[in-house]
Amino acid sequence: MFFDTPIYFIFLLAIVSAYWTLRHRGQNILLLAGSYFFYGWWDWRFLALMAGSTLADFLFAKHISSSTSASKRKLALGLSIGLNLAFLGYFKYFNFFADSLHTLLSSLGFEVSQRVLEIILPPGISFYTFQAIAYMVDVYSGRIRPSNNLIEYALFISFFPHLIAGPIQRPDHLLPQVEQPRRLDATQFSNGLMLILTGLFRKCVIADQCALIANAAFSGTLGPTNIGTVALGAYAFAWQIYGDFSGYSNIARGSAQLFGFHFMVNFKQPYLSTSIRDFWRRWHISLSSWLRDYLYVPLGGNRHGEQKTYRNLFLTMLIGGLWHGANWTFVLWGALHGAWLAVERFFDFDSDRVQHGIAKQWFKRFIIFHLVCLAWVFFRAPTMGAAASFLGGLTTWNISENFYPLFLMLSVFSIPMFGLDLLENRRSEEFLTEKSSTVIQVVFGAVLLFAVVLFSANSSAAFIYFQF
Amino acid sequence: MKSHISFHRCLALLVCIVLTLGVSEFSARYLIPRFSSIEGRVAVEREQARSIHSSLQHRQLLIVGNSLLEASVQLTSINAAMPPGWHAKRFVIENTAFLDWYFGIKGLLESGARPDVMALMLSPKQLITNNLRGTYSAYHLFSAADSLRAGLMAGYHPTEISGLLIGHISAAYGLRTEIRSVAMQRVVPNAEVIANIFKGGRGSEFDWADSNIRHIAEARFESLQALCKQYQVQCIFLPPAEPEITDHALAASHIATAHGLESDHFLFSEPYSTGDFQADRFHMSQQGAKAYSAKLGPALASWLTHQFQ
Repeated sequence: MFFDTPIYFIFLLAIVSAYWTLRHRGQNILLLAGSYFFYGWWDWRFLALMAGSTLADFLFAKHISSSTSASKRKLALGLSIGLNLAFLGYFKYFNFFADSLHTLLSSLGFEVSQRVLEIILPPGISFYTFQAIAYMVDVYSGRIRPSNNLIEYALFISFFPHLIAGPIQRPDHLLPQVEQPRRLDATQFSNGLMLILTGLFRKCVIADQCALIANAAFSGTLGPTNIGTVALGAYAFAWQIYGDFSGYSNIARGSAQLFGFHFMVNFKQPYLSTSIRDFWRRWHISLSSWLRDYLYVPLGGNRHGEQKTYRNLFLTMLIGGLWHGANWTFVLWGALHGAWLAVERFFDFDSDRVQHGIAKQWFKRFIIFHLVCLAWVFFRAPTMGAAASFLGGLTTWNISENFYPLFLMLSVFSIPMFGLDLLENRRSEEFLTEKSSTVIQVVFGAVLLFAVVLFSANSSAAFIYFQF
Repeated sequence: MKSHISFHRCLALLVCIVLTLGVSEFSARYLIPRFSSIEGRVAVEREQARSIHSSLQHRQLLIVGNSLLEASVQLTSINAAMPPGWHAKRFVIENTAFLDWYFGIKGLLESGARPDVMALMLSPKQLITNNLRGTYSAYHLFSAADSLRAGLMAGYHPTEISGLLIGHISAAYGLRTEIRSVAMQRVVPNAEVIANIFKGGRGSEFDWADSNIRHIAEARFESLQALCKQYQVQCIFLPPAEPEITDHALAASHIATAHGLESDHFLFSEPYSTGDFQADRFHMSQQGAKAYSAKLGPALASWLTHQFQ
């Protein structure tokens, strides 16, 4: 059930109402049952997969912790990670690699029959796989002790607000919250409601309207591509994906807070970044920090000289791109970011030692925003050819008459979002009015909800990150 | 003290959410028909359709369909051609197809509407497709149970099916497209120009030489005929005017007639001129509607006289 549909809120209301009448153990059982119901609602066929991999990881972790043999511990870790990645690899990447291999062999003159399997991607597999791997590695490294309660571990993996599209929760952050009793805190509850309202605003009001423009630009509806189409498509998609994903994250975090859980912040005004490195400290923070801690650092990080640091940056972002989807466009998107990070490091662009004036800060924001938009073109385009063809429009300077009304529409929906980000950044708030009076917060909440009622689309445009 | 404030803030937010939703529901039910000309028309036509009761002295013909009906049929011309004692009404909802109208006609008949004749106008593609207008149809046309059935027949996911049920109950949810349309016109400059840009093409027609397509058409006409027969209402199928009669239009019409829904009688072979259609070559212009209605009216009159003598 999508987070912007009434059925989700009916489900949430039912679970929250029952939850606070129960004690700790009952709460966990209710949340686990609710989470499996939530997942089964998406696709019941994959319940057994999630349950099976959860049980396997639970047992592997206990073995890692209890075993005194270093080789057995390493073997258990390897088997667990291997099993998780095998599932992910099969369901998400089998057809991609088979297709790519077929294309390569065909281009080399080999006749190979292509077998494409009808493989359906289990919802959320990319997210809960990474969460499970983080748990196994943390248990292995001794950062956390393994869970002795299967229900608590299963809830940590499957808790429905983060199950389908994150934020990827760190075991040392979420598991203790599962294991400890939660108490009803009015501030946390009201903040949760506000996060849900801001999330709905970002998704239904901003993202869904920008999506119309982006889809029209990328699909060719606006006619032959020109510089205006490219600008519209890239800018519109930039605001669409930001509104969509930050909106989803807010709803996920807000939903969790209604149960007394705190999820990590996933976005911090990313389009105000002054460098690519700054961008990745603000965008999809749960993923970027996961990649840093479980991929970049184990690869060596910046500990083995500059050349290897550049390699590690590039590889980490490359894999990060591939994680998003089984398509070379995602790989190129990741590669671009990896290359830019390496270049930034080489030229020391992101040095904290230098203080910049306002003009230079905004100039850097402008440049970084456009670099990010350029990369988004590859993220959005269905194929490399389509991306190249789309960007080819930059050489055509004739702007069609459709450009102006659409640019105005994009401005109407992106400027408020940009303004909200500026204010939240200045006030260091997770959502605007977090630190304001009750009256202001309630009025703001009413405005957000009313805007959602006015602008929500006819058919629910799926959250982009649900496809990962 | 701090916890007191937090509790009051929480309570105030919850009350605010409930009040906002309540105001939205009230506004959707009573204000949107005033702000939206389309919604105003649909609301009026729906009530007129629901309240149709025929008698021997006042025979009623109800024509239902989508924008094709609205563009091509001039009701005053049709009524002028009607036999004595006959009156024609229409009920138009844009962007609808067969499933919308099968369950829509069912909903009308179950709510007490009793025309003598129910006429359905759809293009051959709209007859075969599983597309639904979604929550808008659920609100205006379907019963609660049919909202679920329509979603299942359209191949909807459970989330979408639950949305249909909620759209049936809630005006604010059911009329979201119209609400957004009204809001966009007030907030976004050139909203109508933009709406036309986003409209997109019609897509290609189904292959009517394919026996599967013909079977779908047969099954649908049979089910529609059975539904109307249950309420002693005669049903006819009106093929919309096309620049030239196509094979699929002929096929749809013949299948309808073969399954008890007269249609061939309303298929006019005389070609239309370019000016009879709008730029999309799908919807008729005012000129075309005048020409088409001038043919359809007498054709309806002759058929009605023959059927009800």
